[in-house]
Amino acid sequence: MLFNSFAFAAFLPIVFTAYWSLGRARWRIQNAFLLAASYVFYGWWDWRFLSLVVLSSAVDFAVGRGLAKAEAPRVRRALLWVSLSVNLGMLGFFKYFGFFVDSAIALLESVGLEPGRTTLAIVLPMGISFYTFQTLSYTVDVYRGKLQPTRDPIAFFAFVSFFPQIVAGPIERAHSLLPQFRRPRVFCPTRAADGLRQMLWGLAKKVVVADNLAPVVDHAFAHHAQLDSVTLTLAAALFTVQLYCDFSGYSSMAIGIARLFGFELSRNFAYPFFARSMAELWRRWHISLSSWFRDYVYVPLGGSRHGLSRALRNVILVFVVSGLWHGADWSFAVWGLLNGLFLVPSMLSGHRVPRDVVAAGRLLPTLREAASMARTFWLYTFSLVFFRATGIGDAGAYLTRLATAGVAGFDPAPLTEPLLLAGLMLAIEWLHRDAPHGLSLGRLPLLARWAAYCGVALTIMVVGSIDERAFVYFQF
Amino acid sequence: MQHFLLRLLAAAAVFGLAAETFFRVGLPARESPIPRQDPDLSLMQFDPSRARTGQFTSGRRAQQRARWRINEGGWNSALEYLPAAERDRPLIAFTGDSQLEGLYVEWHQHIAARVAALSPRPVAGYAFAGTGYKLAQYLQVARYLAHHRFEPAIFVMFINGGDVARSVRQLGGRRGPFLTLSHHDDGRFTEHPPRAYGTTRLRRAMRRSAIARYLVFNARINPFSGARTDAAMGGAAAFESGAADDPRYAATVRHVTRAIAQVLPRTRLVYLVDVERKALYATGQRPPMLPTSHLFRDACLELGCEWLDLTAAFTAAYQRDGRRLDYPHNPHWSPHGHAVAARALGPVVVRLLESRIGGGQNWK
Repeated sequence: MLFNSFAFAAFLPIVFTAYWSLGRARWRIQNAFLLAASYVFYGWWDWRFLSLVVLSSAVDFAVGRGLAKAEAPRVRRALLWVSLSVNLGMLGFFKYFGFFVDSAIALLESVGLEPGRTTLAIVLPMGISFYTFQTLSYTVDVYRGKLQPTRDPIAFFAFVSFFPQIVAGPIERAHSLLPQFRRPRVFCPTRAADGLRQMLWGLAKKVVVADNLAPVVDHAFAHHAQLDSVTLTLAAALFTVQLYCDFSGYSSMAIGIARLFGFELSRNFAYPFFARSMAELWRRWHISLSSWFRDYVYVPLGGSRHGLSRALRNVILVFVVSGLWHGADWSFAVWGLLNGLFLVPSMLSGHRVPRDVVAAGRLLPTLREAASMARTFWLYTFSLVFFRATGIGDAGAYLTRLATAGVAGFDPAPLTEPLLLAGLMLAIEWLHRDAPHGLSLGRLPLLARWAAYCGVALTIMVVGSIDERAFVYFQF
Repeated sequence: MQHFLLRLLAAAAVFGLAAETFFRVGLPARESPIPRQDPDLSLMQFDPSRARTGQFTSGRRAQQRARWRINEGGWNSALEYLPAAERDRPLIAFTGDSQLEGLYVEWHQHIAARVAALSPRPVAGYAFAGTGYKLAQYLQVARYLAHHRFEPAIFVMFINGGDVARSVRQLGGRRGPFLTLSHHDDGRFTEHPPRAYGTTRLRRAMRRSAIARYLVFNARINPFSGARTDAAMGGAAAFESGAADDPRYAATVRHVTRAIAQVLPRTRLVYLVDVERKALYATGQRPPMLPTSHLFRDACLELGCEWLDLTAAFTAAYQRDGRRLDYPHNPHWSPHGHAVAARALGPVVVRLLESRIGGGQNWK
């Protein structure tokens, strides 16, 4: 079920009403109800893959219980390996099996061997990369002694499958989300209203901006051999905005929906296009995944504790793995590698990553700030060509064409509306860069606020795509 | 919680009011005339006792806009339709489905008005068309013309994909407020009179809401099957792909064309066949004719009526300037499509009218 579908428009009010009518005192029943609703939500796409969610939840719950009882390090390690094997095994089989087989065949063929070619079409279960990481974080935290394992299977299963975020995050940590399932939820009208605003803003980003940019981007990447340099440059930039609006729109909706049910999810995007360096961008883009890799891969590898060269190696390694997490293709690895390499200069120079909001208290940035933001945006856009293209060769062909085609044949007409939409969205976010989302309008008078809400809703009706286009990150 | 729900309700009301105003003033939602069945032949037309004019729009951004005017007779036209006795000029009567109903263009852009304007001598061009009309219904229109003594000099019938199949129960035609036929194994045809047209209270209420009209007609949102895309429309030609092999198609065309000729014996009949425009835009080359087009050609050779397939004219026009003949968001002819069709039809009409004079009749 997609957030931007009619089915979900019916599903949400029904679940919301039923959930709160159960009463806050019956929070365990609320958990059971949320679990059932989440399974309906997930099973709407393909009920057969529910078994994987159940399996992942059951294994990690059992491992958690086992870790609570086991004291011998050998047993604890074995239990951890069970969780890692099951979750990463599932992920490896469904996501990477074909990739490894193809890569092995290509390698053998490159040395003159002719291996038998067997093909196995494997459907990627939606959200598998997200919920396996979520359950893994629980087990690792319990193993490390940072988290008390839960005794409540319903709460744990509901935590893993919580419908607002099961298919595309934010990837929640057990220490943050699980306790929310273990206490009564209080309905807070102010938070719920803000949740609705956040949902509205997320939906606008998805259906008005991302989905209207998608056809232009799709066309440019499919027919780059016939297009000019300007079109290809702008299409690459539009893809960056499309990806951001698609994914951050989903995250906004997930956070907003969770708020309606009395849950707080972690922030996933913090205006990444207003970052002044790549390091800052990665503090603002897909925050839940970045912090997951930091805590469960970068830090265990040694982080920056063993000198600069080890730190550089670790950063690059983490980014390559992060790239492969996105998809089983070497082009994703290149995307990750590039982003790792982009961090090297600031690590070498020892530059601190700014944590403040750019141009705080001012309407416009300084020229230096603007140049830094533009440089960051274009660096990231360059790397995303590898992310969007169908392979390394395709990305190379796109970039070669972009560099050599020239401006002859440039037709601005098909790009005008997408550029206007992207520009408008970025302008609105610029004005809200110190607020949680683009519709945080508390400072405005009531009438202006309502005019803005109505304007956004009407824009969704008139300009928004009604094709129920899936979210980009559902494929990961 | 109650307070929150009340606020939510208030927010919905405020937004509803804003949207209702916006879709009436800012971006007008489609206004359609109210349908009715004529009392004599149950022909679907518009109710002249209700709204007589309004703005018809289509597309998410109401890109296409045209005013409709319902005349005393219940047809969308800027003209009042006069019977032969009250007219001072010959009549070219047109019938067809929504393409010729004319809601998608202004009246002066309609093929009937354009063809009348192309004639060197004064002629009247009336359109008796309606959404959902199929070939069998044209027989009912012919009876209407005879019943009301319009006595047209020329009767132009628009043939579209699906016209034949949807006229006959055995080929997929369904009962509705239109005349349909049954084809029997012994070759006979029987008629099923139109069902009484009715509407529901919900539909009437929805008509009053600009938001509902916008969502249903402009955005074409169907909550049960998701958004209906215009690409899904106009697939009727494929629906008749068996026309060449199934003898029931040819029998139906023969039966209806003969019956119309019997109802209007003094009228020259013209069958005007639409074009596979999707194929034309996809390739830029002349597309194949509709699967039933050659059946009308054969019937006209036999009966002495006129057959004009627009494929050549539309292809030439599209190849000349690359302009679509319909709306990008909607498969109905644009004013340009009406103009090209009128230019193709004009010489045929003039020739037929001149031949009447040559045959010793008055110009009228």
